[in-house]
Amino acid sequence: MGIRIVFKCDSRKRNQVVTSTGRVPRVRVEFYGLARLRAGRSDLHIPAQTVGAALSAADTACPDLRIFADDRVAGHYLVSLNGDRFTLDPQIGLKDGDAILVFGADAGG
Amino acid sequence: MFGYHGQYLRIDLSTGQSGAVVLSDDVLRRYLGGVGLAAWILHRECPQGIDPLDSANPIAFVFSPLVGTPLTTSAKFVVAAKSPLTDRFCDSLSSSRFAIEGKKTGFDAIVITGRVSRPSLLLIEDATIRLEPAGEIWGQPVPSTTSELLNRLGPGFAFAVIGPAGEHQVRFATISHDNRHAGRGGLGAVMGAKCLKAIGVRGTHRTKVADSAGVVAAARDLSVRSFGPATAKYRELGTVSNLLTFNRLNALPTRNFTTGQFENAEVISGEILNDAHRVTRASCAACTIGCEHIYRDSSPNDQRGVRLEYESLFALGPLCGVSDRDSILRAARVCDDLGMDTISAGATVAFAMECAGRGLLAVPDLTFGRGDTVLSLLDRIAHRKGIGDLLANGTRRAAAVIGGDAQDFAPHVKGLELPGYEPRTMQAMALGFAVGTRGADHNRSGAYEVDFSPRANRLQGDEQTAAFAVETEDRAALMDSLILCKFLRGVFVDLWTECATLLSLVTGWKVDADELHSITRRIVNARKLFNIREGWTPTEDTLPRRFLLEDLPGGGKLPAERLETMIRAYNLARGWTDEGWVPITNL
Repeated sequence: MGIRIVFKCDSRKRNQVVTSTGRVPRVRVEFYGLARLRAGRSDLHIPAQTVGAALSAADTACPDLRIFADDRVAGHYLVSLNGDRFTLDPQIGLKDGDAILVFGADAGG
Repeated sequence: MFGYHGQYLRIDLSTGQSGAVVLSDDVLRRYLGGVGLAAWILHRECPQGIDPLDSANPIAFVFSPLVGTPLTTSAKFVVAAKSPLTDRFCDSLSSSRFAIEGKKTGFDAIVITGRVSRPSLLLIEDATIRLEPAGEIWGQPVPSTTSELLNRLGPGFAFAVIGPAGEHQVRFATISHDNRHAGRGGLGAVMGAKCLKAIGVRGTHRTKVADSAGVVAAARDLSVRSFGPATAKYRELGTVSNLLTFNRLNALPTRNFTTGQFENAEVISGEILNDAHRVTRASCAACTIGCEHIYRDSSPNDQRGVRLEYESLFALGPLCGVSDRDSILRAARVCDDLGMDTISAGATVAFAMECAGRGLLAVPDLTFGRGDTVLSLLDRIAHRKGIGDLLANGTRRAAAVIGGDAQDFAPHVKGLELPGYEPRTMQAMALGFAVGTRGADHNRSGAYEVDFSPRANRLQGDEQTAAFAVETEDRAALMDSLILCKFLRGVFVDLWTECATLLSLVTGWKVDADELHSITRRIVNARKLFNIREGWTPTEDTLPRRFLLEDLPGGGKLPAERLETMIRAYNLARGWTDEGWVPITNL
């Protein structure tokens, strides 16, 4: 809505990106509303170290999605990690089983 | 004067007198139109302490400077009155040709007071006002009423009609026009109390704009933007797509707000509805977005279909525990046909279901999940039959009669039933509900935008949440006074500056964003001052005890102290006392 929000990274440690076995975490990207329509599917299971990596992978798998470019989430989407706070920080590290939820930005009324 | 006629029409049905009341340039500039001008008019016209169903309670149909311009979504108007559901200020927005034809009668608002002795149709054609008998359409549902009126009078008139619910003064009855409804707050009952079945308007007086070329260019630009990504959800999916989103976030009110997730959400999701039931898409008058999605149920008899929005879907579906799509679609159509607010109707039925489950009401088959019960109860409510007579008064009054601990889980604020946002997991919206002058109201608040953003933690509201809630409420007041559809909000880069430009082009006033901020604060104050005049006290700004005492399964907790902290912060941010008293004695 005209103002770019600078969002602080949450308390999760940056760069905690690799599991103790050295494997890249496997996470789930879930799509809702317009994101689901654009993605053509309800979810996607992928390996990703960060939120940004997950969104990039989602764009690759679902070319009409166009959620992530220039290291930023596109303005008409909202992203939440595990249904908690919404975030614009692509650097947040992920762990096995995390869910990245993608909504249209006008998710309300 | 550009954009306005500079007068409103006042009609006294009891005496048969009518006349024009001057609206000064100062008043119009300070209150704009729509909800702003409605607030000013009610302060002036509504007697203090009046019973909302008394004949002396005026009902106002208020237009705006943008009505009649080529700006997309500008064919909107406000209906305002003291609400029979809340006994507080109520303004209800709607979109249809009624706005255009109403303003063409030569007035910026039409205010009706008094009552007639028998069912009547009020016709306003330019300066000619007449009453015609409506006995043969009294008792008819909205669609056949409208058809009959069109047959009688031709297509030139635009009509606002009530259904049987308004006639029976159901306290959440709507006023309907062009398949749209002035929904919340029971203003249909105010019309019913006046024995007015319908109002027809037609006129020839168009207002001029200050800068025609500028307005045309702005309209073209706004139309182009209205087709972009900011409105894609409304156009391609409709608001029904909210259901799965809310469900995933544990924010979908289910079984009278006992949980935030519905186990059958996928079955009734917007996605399934769009695949299995959608037949077409439509627009309201003068709108390029086209957010109306029309659905038919599975029966071969359903040729009409129904427009379904998220609020109707949640209220007649998960809130009542219903997972049968056909039942939900039929229930929405019943509400439209009989003239009832789907949110309040669904919430009242859900409340009754919980009361029955707790042994507080002895009504057969009144259990969550019974779509057939929902349908039969809606009919009984609209006609005030049996248990419907109690429920037609809304959950607050019903709870007072039912007794026990019913008040703790009656889902209302100030008497207005909660829309489809679970307060414990959307705590900015919770604040918006608690302090709203209409009652539990997502539309005048808009605070759900804060919950759906990285700016705030929707699970842990705090004082900063309050500042954001003020911001969204002011933005809503701006759009509802100009009037432009809030679905356009995402197309603006700088809403305040751009709206100032639009207003300047239409009116010729040199308006800037700062002035608009000042105007919206005045409008919010005016609505609050009306409520204070009518007996508001700080104890009204709260939520039902359920939300403050019961943790939401799956996560979500809103302690009373946290809500109180947010409310205090909101009041102070508004420049009021921390309790919410407004230190302004005149407008």
